[in-house]
Amino acid sequence: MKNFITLNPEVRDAIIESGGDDVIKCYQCGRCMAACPWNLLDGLDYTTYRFCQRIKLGAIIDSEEKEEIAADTIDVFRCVGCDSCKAECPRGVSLSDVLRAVRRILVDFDSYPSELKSVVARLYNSGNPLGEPAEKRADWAAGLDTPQYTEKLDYLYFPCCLPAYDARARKVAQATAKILKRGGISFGIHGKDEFCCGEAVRRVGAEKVFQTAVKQNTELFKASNVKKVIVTSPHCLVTFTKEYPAYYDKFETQHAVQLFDQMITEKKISPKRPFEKTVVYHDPCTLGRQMGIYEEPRRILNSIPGLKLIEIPVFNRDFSVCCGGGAMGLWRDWPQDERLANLRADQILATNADVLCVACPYCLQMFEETLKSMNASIEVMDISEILESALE
Amino acid sequence: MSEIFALVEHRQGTIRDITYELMSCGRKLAENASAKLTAVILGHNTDSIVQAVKSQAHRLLVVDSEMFKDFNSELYQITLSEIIKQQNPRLTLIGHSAFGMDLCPALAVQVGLPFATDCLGVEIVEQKIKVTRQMYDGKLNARVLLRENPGHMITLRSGCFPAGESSLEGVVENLDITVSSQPDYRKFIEYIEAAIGDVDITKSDILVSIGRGVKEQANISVIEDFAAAIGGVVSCSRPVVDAGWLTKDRQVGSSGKTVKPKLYIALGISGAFQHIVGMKSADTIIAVNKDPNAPIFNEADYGIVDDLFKVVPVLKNKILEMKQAKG
Repeated sequence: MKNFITLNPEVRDAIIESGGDDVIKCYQCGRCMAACPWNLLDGLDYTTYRFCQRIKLGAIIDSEEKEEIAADTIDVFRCVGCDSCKAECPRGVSLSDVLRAVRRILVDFDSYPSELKSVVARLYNSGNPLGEPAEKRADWAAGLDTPQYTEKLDYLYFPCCLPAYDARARKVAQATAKILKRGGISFGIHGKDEFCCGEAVRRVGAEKVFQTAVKQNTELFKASNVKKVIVTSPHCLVTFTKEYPAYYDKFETQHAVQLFDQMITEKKISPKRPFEKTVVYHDPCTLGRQMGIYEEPRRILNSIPGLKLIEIPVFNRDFSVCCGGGAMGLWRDWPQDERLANLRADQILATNADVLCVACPYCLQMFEETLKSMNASIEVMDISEILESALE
Repeated sequence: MSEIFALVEHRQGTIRDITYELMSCGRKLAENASAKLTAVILGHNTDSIVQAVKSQAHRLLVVDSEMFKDFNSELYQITLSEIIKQQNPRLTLIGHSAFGMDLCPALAVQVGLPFATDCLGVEIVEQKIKVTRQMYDGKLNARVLLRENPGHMITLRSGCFPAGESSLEGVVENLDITVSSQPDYRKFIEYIEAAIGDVDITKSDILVSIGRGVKEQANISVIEDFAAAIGGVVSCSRPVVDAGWLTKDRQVGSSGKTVKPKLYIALGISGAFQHIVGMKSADTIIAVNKDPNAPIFNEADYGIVDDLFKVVPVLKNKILEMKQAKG
């Protein structure tokens, strides 16, 4: 470790230009580090509060030693964008935005983790992170009689890439479509013409690929005059609500739980079939902290007869701990003692619930894999699957 | 009489296999185009190389100099460009190896010849050179016609042209080409041997891949026996590496290796998409899993819903039986 730093205003300016201007607000109080879930892991010190100061001095990724650059790069790409820090920061600094700016520069130099490179490439080439053909994007809807979206329909249902392609997550899209139909909602899908919303590629800094995604989707939305979109992934929700309007703002987006909640209130659907299980609900970072949607999923679960809803003590709502899947964390392979999903799984198992309820395809996948590895008997279900099973 | 050149590739005194593939491809082309094949050797103390290649070509052009003891693309480029300019071969074949990839593009530019890389096939049709190359990650084969020109260059992919026996008696010609000065940019420093992992799963035609369903480390020997019996190699999904039962170099998936074997047998692997992206391009996928809803069955060509420990012995015996019957 070198004991001096070299000031480099060019690096600082480049990062600020790439969108890291929040660094100027930081006065290094350190609350972000206390709030960051990575620091809940034993033996890991993720010194988040240092980032802003180092960037202000232009002293980040500036070493000539390979090992130091590698260690810096690991730190820069560790953040999953859960925004726990932003929620605690007295100055409202979004470290995930700051690190995104640093990543943009690293991605431009092609200097980022190789497993992320392949995801970015697959997404760019095929429109989804799995590299599946666009023609198969509507396969999940086989037999469900979901029409192609036209402007005569009220809603476009945009299921996110994982529920469109992954065999497990497809059940979430299927359950959602069934609920919408039961409630008489007029909706259609775009199938093969959809492109990934681009949330994750933007977070890892692959801005050009994000722009491609925006272009594809906004042109599609414009051409088919989409007014209202329902999404299954809160990651699509955040992107469509907070990032797309800079390019095209003629549509509104709702997460499925918001619409389900509304449908129950308006008695369009009524869960009658009992679900006799104890259910613990995990707040996804993007749905909770980033969109403030905490009560809708709880109201839905509480409306189901027989279902007993419990909370993870302390670490619920604003203090929910990330599953680790954000910002392409889904594709990373951290050492076993550095996995957020394991940490959260321990908290979940301590509640002794029968079912873990999630409302995000990333959380679904992260927890299902992790809990299976722990030989835990708890079942992982998406909220749409639970609700659908309660409809007669 | 037109000539076809093939460059002999050697490292630390040993001729690389690709050389014999170039020779057999070159001989076939020469035969059809009534041309002669010339092996070009740049090396030092080349006697053993000359002896080994003699039967493979009609003529051998040898430049023997201390400078060519080890491969240096810059030196090769300077020397080969002289030879090509002097002799004007109709076609120059070089292996698409690290060596060829380093050398050829710059050489082709220097001598101003039409050039195609990584060719799987090559033929001379009505005086024109027609090659086959792959596009889109191997999903398409493109046939490309090279611009008409007195000379051409191509690099050939290894493993596409079987090396063959030949009984030619090549005439050896020593060329005296001196490179005036040491090259400016490149210097050979040393050979660094790659660390040898026990197996490279990306090279195997048959992979027997295990997941969480293998349950404990003690069970892995059963799978290893099975893999050995059918001529395959054991690979795995992440939980097996997490448990410390196999090393990371056996892991298939987004954070492990991407594999494209002819046969992929997934035993007790549920099929999380991070695993699927690493193996979905396998030619044939057989999945064995107790859970009929396991996502792996969506990818599999054949699926068996049962305990892998019941299925494996039966499969093994059946395959051995079939192998014996075949002799």
